[in-house]
Amino acid sequence: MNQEPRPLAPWSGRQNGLNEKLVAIFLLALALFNPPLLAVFGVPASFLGLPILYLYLFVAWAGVILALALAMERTPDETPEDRGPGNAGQAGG
Amino acid sequence: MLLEWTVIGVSFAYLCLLFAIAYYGDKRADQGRSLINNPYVYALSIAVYCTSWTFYGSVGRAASSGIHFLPIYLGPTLMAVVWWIVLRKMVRISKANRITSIADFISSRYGKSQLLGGLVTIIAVIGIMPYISLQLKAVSTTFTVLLSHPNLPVAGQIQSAPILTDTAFWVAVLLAAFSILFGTRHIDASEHHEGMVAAIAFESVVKLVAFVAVGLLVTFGLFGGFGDLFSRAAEDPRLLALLEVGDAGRFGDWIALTLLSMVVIVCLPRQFQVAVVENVDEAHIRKAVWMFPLYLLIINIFVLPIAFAGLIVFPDGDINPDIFVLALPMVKGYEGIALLAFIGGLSAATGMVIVETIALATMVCNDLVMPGLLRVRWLALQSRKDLTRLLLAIRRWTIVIVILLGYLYVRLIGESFALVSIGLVSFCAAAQFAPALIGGIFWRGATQKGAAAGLVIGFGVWLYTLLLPSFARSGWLPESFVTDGIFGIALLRPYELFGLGGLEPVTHSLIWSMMANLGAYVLVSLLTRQSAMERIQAALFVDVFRPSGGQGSSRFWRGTAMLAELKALLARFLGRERTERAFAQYAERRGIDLARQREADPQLVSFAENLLGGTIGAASARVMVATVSKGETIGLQEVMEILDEASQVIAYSHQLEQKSRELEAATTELREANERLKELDRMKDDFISTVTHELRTPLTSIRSFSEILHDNPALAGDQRQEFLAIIIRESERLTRLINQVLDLAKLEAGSMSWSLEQVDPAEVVREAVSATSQLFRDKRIPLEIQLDPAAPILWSDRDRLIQVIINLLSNAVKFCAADRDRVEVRLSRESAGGGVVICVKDTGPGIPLHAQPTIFEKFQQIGDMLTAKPEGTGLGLAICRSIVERLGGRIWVSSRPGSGAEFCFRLPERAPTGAKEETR
Repeated sequence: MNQEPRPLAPWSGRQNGLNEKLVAIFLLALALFNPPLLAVFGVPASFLGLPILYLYLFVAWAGVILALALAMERTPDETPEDRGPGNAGQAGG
Repeated sequence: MLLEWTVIGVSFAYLCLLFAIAYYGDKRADQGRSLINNPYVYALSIAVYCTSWTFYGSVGRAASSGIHFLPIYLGPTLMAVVWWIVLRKMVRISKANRITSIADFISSRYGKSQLLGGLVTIIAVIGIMPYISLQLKAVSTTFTVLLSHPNLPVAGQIQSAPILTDTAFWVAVLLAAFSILFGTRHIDASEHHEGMVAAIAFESVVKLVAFVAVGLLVTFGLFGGFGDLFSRAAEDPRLLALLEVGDAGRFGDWIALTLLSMVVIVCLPRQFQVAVVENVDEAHIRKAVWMFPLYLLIINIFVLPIAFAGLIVFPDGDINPDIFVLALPMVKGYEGIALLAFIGGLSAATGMVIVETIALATMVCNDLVMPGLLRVRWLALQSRKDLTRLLLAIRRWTIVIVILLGYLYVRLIGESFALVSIGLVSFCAAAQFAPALIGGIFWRGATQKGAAAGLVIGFGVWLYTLLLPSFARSGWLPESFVTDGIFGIALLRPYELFGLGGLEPVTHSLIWSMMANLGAYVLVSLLTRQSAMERIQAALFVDVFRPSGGQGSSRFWRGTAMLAELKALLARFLGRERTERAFAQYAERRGIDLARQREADPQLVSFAENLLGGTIGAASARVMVATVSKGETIGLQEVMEILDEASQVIAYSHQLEQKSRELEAATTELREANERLKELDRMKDDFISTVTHELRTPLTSIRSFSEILHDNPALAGDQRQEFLAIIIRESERLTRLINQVLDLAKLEAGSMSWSLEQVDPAEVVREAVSATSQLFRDKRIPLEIQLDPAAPILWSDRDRLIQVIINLLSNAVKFCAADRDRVEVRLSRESAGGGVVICVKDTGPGIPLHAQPTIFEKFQQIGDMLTAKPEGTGLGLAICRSIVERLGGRIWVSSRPGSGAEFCFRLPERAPTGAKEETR
């Protein structure tokens, strides 16, 4: 008997691998924002006149946001049926 | 110089502008041209996360702990990365189930449990109280600071005034009034508070602009840019130390704060409100995912510079670092920027308080007060006409009470803590929702008891390790409670529970409360069973992305209700007009006419419950709908079957389809067979009636002649002899008839045995001729035989063939006049098909044209039945045809009336074997 293709769980990365990208960015951010990488930059030194820890954290942070923006904006939209009901379903005044 | 009335006037003007925006937003929403239906407003509204804490507290935190102000913003960034996975699911669930608050969400997930809804609400109100007090404190402090211009109040100098002259009190009253105006103007809470969201988004812009303005002024106005500022800071070893993360314990704090802020970004009631409940379109999450962290990044860039600048400008430490943002522009004479900073701080505080209290009001109303009131019988709420006013009143009072609680907290505790410390207490309380909330949407097996156990234990630990000590430190509980532990048990010291020391109180509390919460949640969930309702809801939540996920619980609901009662119930909570409109929309969407229905079907009942849930919460809605509906949700066993078989249903339906197709085909066949049977039955009836008729004719004549003989013994001898001859002849005819009937019956039933063998047609003809020669001799009719020597040997049934020819010959004799006519039998080879044709031709009277087509039917006899005695049985030719057709041939007659008839039949070389073809 032929079954309908079952939709995969939302975290299993159907549609265009967006979820995998997000999980990867999450792990990257986790590594960047926490020890031990944090300890590496947690030294009293400066770069271009800025404290290196301060500089590192904001650059890493900006990098994560950039990666996130690229992932969200560059990945094409998922299949239409995956789209939520939007504002439909809202009955009543 | 900033006059008191200038500050008050500007603040008031700002709040009025805010209200105007909210009013405009609501108006646009009513016109259907939503102001907030775009991802930018959505992202900005989520930035309500940045409160006075961010605006003033971060700098204070940075001044004392350096970079440690940052995890509070890195955590949300981490969570934002996976929002597309987590938040989108929560939004989808909330839309499908008309979720109105985080309490509603958790209660809904665990079987629409009133207990859980109430529990979450209580935790939220108590837990958020410090957070609101933080805002009140910030606004009132900064207001006082601004007014004391140009002098700055030294830390600890701000005395608590009597209530009526306390700015914090008036701030509280003002904020309460605004929250009421914003949030409780209409009632269906699952609708969006569009005006509020628009105002919040605007506030996010204001506070960002204000903070960045202060940051730019400080960095580039008071100092020569980042390089100058940091190089001046580097000269001070005290400041230099702030740029390090610290030892291992500080790493622990860092990680704990990151995790804490990561979960609260979805668990805080106001964050849940703006990100989930107020979401207009799932697609907006796509942009918010990166714009919200970007907002956090921008607002935090200047935190450290401002903190360092403050520490450099006020080296004595007599200025509270929490007011650096305001104090720096003030002492340097930038009054405009100072006022802007104040407005920015005000917007940060008002945004938080408005959203938070509205969210809390919804929760308290739907999940705490309504369930309670509905249980109180003497209020008879269920029979009241219109409850919308009551609902609004409850919400308004809740807002007032929640803000006053916050005020109380700030009066009791506030003075002794920094802003961030107060806020973190609330964060830790909100984090208690995380296991039940996030676990609930991914783990199907989590049970109501597990969630309740986790919440209660986690909240208990939080209360003991964080809230009560804060009372103790403010002198409202004995100091020994903190230093010696409860009852003097050192192991139970609230800040060093079980001897775990060396951590910040928040980290310490988070570790213990989360461990207890998560542990109880998982363990109890594993040890308890879900009820049917829980199982249904769990499936709806976890599987919301499945195609059937969005259809709600109607497939599990078998209750029906009287339509009128259902409408009346809804009208009490929603108002008559809105109820009618909602029902009309429902009817239109489903293409049904509700006016004709008396009973509401399960789908409609479910729809009504959902609609009601948008106003009073899922748990209360369920109780209310249950009062008017018959029947109930199906049992656990059935639920399990439905859920477990859900994946098999498709397969089953395929099988069913196939089966039904087969059935259809079978039915068609059966119908055809039935038709044939009916036809056969009819023919049988005809046959029997004809046969009995034919049998009766000879019997009648036999009987009548026998009676004559019996009644007249004196009858003359020759006459007697003649009568006896008739009797004998009729008996013979009777016998013949019966034999032929039997033959025909056998032929038609296909039960006659056929023995196919090699047959020489010429020999067959000769045999038949010799068998009938006596008849010809009796009537002195000459018989001419023509045999084609080229006739092939046939594979056929010899005896039946002879029978056919005998039948035809005797038939011919029968109709020929003695001495006059003649008969001819001819065997010829058929040129075309390779078989033979045998013809019997007579010169008798021939067959009338009208009789020719039916001559081979049963009991078709030629001649006048009334005058002439029938010569044959009427079955001979029918038998001939049956045999010939069975042997694969064809029989026909050609005749011209008056000049004889010719019966011919054709036979193939090989008779078909085995086939029991029906001959009709």
